[in-house]
Amino acid sequence: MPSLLAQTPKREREAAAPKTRRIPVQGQQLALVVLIVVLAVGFSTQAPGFLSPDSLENVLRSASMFGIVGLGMTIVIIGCGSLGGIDLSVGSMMALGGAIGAGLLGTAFTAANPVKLPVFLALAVALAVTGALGACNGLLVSWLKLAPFAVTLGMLSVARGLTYLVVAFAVGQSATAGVTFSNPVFDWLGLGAFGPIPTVAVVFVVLAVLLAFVLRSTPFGRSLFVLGGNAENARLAGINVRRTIVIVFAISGLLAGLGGLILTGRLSSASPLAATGYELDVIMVAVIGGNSLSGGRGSILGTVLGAVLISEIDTGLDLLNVPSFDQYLVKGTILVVAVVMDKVYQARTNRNLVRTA
Amino acid sequence: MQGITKSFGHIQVLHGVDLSVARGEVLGLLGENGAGKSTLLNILNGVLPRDDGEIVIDGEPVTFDTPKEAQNAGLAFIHQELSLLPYLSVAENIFLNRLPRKNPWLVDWATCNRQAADILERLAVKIDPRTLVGRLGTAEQELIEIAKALSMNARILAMDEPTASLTEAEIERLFALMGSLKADGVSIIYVSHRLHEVAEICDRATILRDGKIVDTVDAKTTNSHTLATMMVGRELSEIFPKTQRERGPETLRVSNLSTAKVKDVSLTAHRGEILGIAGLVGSGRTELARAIFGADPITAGEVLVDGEQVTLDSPGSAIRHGIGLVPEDRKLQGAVLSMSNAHNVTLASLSKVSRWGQLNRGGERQAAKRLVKDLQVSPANIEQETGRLSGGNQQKVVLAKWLFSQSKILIVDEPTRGVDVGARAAIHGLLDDLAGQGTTIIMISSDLPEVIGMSDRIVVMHEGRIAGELARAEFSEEAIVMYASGLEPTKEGSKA
Repeated sequence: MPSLLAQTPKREREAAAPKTRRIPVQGQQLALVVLIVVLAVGFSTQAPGFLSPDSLENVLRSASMFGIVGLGMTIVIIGCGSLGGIDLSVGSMMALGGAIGAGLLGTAFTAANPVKLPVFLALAVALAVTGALGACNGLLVSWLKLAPFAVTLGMLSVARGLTYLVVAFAVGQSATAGVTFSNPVFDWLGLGAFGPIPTVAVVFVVLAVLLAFVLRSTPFGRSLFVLGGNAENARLAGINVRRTIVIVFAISGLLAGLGGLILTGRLSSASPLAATGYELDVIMVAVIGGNSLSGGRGSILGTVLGAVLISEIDTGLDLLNVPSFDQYLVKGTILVVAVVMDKVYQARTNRNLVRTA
Repeated sequence: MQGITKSFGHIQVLHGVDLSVARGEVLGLLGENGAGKSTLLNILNGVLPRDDGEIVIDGEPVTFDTPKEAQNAGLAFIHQELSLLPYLSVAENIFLNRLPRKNPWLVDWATCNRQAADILERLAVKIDPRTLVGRLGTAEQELIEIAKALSMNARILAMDEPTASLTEAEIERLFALMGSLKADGVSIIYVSHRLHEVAEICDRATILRDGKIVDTVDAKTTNSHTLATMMVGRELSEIFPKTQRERGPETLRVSNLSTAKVKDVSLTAHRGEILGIAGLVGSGRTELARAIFGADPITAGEVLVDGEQVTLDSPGSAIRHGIGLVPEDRKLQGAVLSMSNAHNVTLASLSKVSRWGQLNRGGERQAAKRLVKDLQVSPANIEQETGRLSGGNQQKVVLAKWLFSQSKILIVDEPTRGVDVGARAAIHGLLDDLAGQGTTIIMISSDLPEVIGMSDRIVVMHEGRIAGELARAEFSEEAIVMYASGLEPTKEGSKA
């Protein structure tokens, strides 16, 4: 191979002609689509209101909210899976984001609150704070090599505590109850729509497409898959492992903050108890979507389908008047089944690897 | 042990090996890396099943299916890597799985500690049996391993390089202990790469080469040089594609480099040169490579690339300075097995196939296709997961990664380990071509014919240091083995 070193990548670029674009739908995703359709049919026969516009809008709004936060969880799981990557702090981060956004408006609360920021500035501060706290998670994981489980569990508590402080500051007294308010931008985020499509769904789709592009077509996205598979491998490939981990957790915090702002707008209230336990739903969304907790594998499409499926089940069971504790049973079982399916899939892949190696 | 035969797959690693050890005798077991010593010991110990042959202890044929059965028959095995549990006490480690009981549910700690103390006393070791093993030094841990073996009333003790991490004084103590065990009638099989130790402690020595017994000799009267020759003395049957090259200017200079495992190493490498690095496994070769590649922290010394001092604090910075590493552990460090060949090829140089932060996937495929074709990766499918290729083809993909990133200095660590003959020749050809085109190749290899056949110059490492450097005219397996064992080669030892 005489000319091996002589050729330049520049030439390859020009010679390259993109051919057919395959959409990589895997068996697992196909199974999710089938499950979503089957459940829709099942729910509609049992609860006739399930396919009504109201009900479908409800599914769409809640799928989008959990999905937006789930996108962050997805890149944490794909990119840091080999390190035990998970972000347990997202529920508290949602509450904190919502509380900051609403609290800084001034108009939101009647009590003596000196801070009155324009709404877009308030939103920006909320996102900046949750993003920065997410980056803190990442710094602790990458520099001190702490387990993400422990770090984000700590952050779950810290962010919840901060939420109390923010709400107490905003209403001028210690407040544990939700504080209702009204603001056009929050209303638009949480309740508004473009024609028949809820605003939040549009935001979700835009973010999902953006992240799918990042994962598929940027060096950063590629490095996430390498890092998630094996951190040492990533380091030896020259990837800045620490920086990547910090960015991943920062994005997760930022998206959780955004999800919290949407939730606050939807409820027209910021409560220190908002979004309690939502981290479980968000993890479920990502895992059911086929994102392997062991890292290095997963897709945005899977997360989108996972979000739709979880919200569909929520809404359907509500319509059937299933008590919320029984809903926990159903969702928990589905989560475990999803993880088992992932394990089976992995075992099959590994067997193939051995057989042909 | 008589006529022991073992194959892994269709590769036969032991060919009818006979080994005997008498009561109260220390038998040295010598051989190069990969000669089959560990396999032999693992068969004796019941870790691996044998294909053929028999094991006879005190006149009775025995078969061990598990290490536990070997233990019960009076065999104890002390591995190079100690197998103690750091957060348990000395007594607990000694009686692991066999803790004395008051009744079926409760451990009798008093008896346990007393018995442990008795054994330690027999060994003249002053350690409280209640100490946590993790608090002890390596030498003391080694003694605990021996105490554990004694507590099982071992009659046959196999030790795999027990002195590898001990100081001179600690070795003296270990040898004194071995002497008293010997006097008690314990048989010891002693594996070591340190030839002078074999002369000191062993009665006889059996030399294993390529899975066959070369000879068994009197360890006291046979000199180190003869032993070294017997370990390596094979015909150079392989043809290496070595071409004559002019050595270019210096590209890499390492001065007084130290890391956790590398001590004060200085060397230079030149454009168009293949620099071989020989030495035993664990001599610091891999760690030196990792330090130059920025993968291990450098504690002292400096590295110059093309005459300019560089900071190598991460593999990323090494890659930017044109350094590439094909690591020893291909599966965990070299290639991402779950990714396609195309993605593996561009892994270390994603910026080359992207513009404005976006990957040019078409360009990536184009580049991968060319390299996969040039290196004759089989099957030549860029979408195939690298994990599904054979070892040799995986290695070609890893090499392709550095060809694509156009490394000026390429470090290859055991480039042909676990690779079939055809791929081996292809990799050798490729390395020679690259050197011919001006790349600096640093090749670490335990394979002596390979390192001799391919290199322009060889440095030999021993215990983290450079033990010697050989110019092409001075190359000989004996000289390398002597340096690697911490000895000075004798002049008459050079190759005929």
